[in-house]
Amino acid sequence: MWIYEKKLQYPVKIKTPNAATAKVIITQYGGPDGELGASIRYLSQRFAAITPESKAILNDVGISGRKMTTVKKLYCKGHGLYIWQFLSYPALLWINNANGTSNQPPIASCIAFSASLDENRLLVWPASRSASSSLQ
Amino acid sequence: MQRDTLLKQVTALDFVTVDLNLYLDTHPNDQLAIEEYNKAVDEAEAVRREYERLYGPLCSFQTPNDGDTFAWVDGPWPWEQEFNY
Repeated sequence: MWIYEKKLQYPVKIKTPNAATAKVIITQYGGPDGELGASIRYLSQRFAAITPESKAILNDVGISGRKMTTVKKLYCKGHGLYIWQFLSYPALLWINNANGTSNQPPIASCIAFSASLDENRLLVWPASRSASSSLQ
Repeated sequence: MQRDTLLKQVTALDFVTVDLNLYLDTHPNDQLAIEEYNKAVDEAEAVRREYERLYGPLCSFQTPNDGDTFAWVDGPWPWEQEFNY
C-alpha cells in the first residue's frame, strides 16, 4: 500500500505564467503517453517480474510516476493553480513522454508557471498576457 | 522562516533517499551506496521529526496526534500557494 506525505517532492513557486508551457505540461498528465498510464503499466508488469531487482524497480518507478501525476493533477484543480514539471530526474533537458520519446525542443529542466483552469479552458493569469518562451 | 528551512531540508533529504532507493533496487550489492543510503535516512529522519514536532504531521496514520483536534486536516496543503517556499 502507499503512504501520502504532506509535502511536494519539489517546491513550486511560480514567477511568470506561461500558457504555452502549460499546454505542453498538461500532455504529460493523462492519455497513452502520460505518466499515469506508464505508472499503471509498470505496476501491472511487476506481478510478472521474475528477479527481485526487477520487481523492486517496477514497483518503485511505478510509484514515482504516481507522485508526479498527483502533483500535476492537484495543481490543475481549482481556481488558482500551479503546475510543476518534473522531468523524471533534474538532469533531463528534453521533455519526454512517459515512453521516453522526445518530441519537444529542449527547454530548461525545471519549469514553473501558473495557469487558471476553468473547467476545460486554460486561462493565463493577467500578470502576463504574452506567451513568451522565457522561463523562470 | 524556520518552517521554510526545515521543509526545504526534509524535501531535499527525502529526495536523496528516494533516489538511492531507486539505485539500490538495481544494485543491491553496492556497499558504498548502502552506507550513503543509511546516512541519508538518519539525517532525513532527524529533520522530519523536528518539522513534525513544530508544524504537524507529514503522514496521516503514523504519527501520534498531540492535542484535541486531528492536526492532519490543518494547515496549508502542498498544492496551495502558502505551502511552498
